[in-house]
Formats: sequence, C-alpha cells, structure tokens
Amino acid sequence: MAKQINPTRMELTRLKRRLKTASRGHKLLKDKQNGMTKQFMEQIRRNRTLREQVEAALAAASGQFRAASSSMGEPELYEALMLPAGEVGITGGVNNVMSVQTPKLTSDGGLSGTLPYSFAGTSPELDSAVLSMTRLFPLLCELAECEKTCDMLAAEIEKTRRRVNALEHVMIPDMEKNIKFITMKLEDNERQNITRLMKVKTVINDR
Amino acid sequence: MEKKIKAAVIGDKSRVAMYAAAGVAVFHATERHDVLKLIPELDSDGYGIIFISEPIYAECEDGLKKYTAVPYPIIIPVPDENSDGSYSKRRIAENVKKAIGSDII
Repeated sequence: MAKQINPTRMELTRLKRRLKTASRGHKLLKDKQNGMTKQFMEQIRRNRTLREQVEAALAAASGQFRAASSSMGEPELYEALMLPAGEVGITGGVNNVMSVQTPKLTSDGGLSGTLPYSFAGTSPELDSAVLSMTRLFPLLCELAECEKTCDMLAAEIEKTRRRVNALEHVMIPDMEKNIKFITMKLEDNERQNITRLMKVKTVINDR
Repeated sequence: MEKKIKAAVIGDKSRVAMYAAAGVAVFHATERHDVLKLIPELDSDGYGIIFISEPIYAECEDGLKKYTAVPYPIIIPVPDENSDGSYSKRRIAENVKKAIGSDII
C-alpha cells in the first residue's frame, strides 16, 4: 500500500488533511454510536416490558373472545365486529434520535367505551372482550412506536459500528503508514541531497 | 410533518378478528406472496401501522427488511390466537445482539 503512493510534498499535505478529517469523523461517529447505544438500551428495555404487557393483555382478550364465540357462535361474532364503532385517531410524526428519523405516534385513546353492535343477539362476554381490546389499543401503538425505534436504532448502530471500525482499524492506520512512508522518503531525499552537495563542495575545494 | 394514520392487521381472519374491536382494519392474507403484495397497497392507503400475526411475519421477514430504513409504515409482529409470543421475544434478543454484539438482556 505504502509503495503505491507518490512520495511528494503535495501528497503528504493531502494525506495529512485526510487524516485530520478521518480522525474527526471517527470521534464524531464514536460519539454517535455511544449516544445511540444509550438510547437503544432504554428503548429495548421499554420494548420488552411493553411486549410482555401487550402479550398478557392479548392473551386475556383472546380468551374472552373465545368465550364469546362459544356462547354466541363464530359467524355472529364476526358479524358484530364487522362494522367498527368509529375510526381510531392516530397522529404520526417523526422523532430525531441521533439523526435517525424514528416514528412518533400520538393516539387519541382509541374507541374507549363504544361498542360497535346492538346488545340484542350478542353475549356479555363479547362486551368485555371488545372493551379490553379498545383499552389495549394505546398500548399497541406505544409498542409499535417503540419496536420500530429499536429496529431502526439497531440497524443504524450496526452500520455506524462498521464505519467506526473501518476508520479505526483500516483507514487511519493506512493513512498514518503512508504519511510515515512519505516523510521518510522525503527525509531520505533531503539527506541524499546534502551528501551530494557536500561531495560537490569537496570536489570543488580539491581542485 | 405530522399526519393522520390508520392501523391495520394482516393475518388469518379467524385468528386476528379480535383486533377489529380496537378499530384496527383486518385484512385476510396468509400466504407470503399475498402479504408482500398487500403491504405497499396499505402503505399508499395511509396505513402507517401494520400488525402482522407472528407466524406470517416469520415467513415474510426477509421481504419486510426494506421497511426498516423508513419510519413509516411501522410493521410489527403481534401474537394471534395460536402463537405464544416466542418469535417476538427472539426478535428483541436479535436486535440486542445486532446493536451490542451479544445478548446482554
């Protein structure tokens, strides 16, 4: 690698400038990686807790739906749920976490307390099942936001780590090696020149 | 930048019907090909959150990777009536491994 470059002052200046930029970039990327890891750890812990909560709540709701289905029949249950009680209001924005654009959701609380069917022909188990699902919706939104943030941060951390490693273990050492090679070559040339001059001086003096 | 978004769930209709009670639109698709075709349509229809039942998400995982780079649509696996949630737990562990290097949680 070192032998492929031109040992000139221009190349040396260019390499020194590149090394300075690379070192600064390395420091910035390392800081970014640390910041993202910190955020990631917070989010992943929240993600795990939310996941457990949602799964427990969904299992409970699923049990209630099964009970409702067995007491009123599956076709009637689907018919009751076919027409939603309304549309849930979710506003989606963007959050900036260490220059990673992550989603930010604001839910208006879901369809709280509204049942999409008449009480005639439906079982009371269905009412409680529907109400538990509507109560669960804000939690589902929170989980969606958190899980996506974790996915995005994990991908970005991996990418940043590769960049940091490439800078730290390949680019910066290579540049330092090249700078050393050019400096040594230039010093060598300088020494050769001085020796030549001394020799010329001796020859002139000897005449 | 803020916009109104809708939520949808994809899966076997008989297993994910309960999500309809929460105001989430239910779409029936069980084959990988159908799911991957349905997602861009839902995305263009303003569905910013797409829940997919766990077994189907596991099948389509590689096809959903391209959505990781953009904040919307948010596509996450959710347990249906038959799954136990182990797939989602494994996903969390994989994310930790990807970011930190080893599963420390």
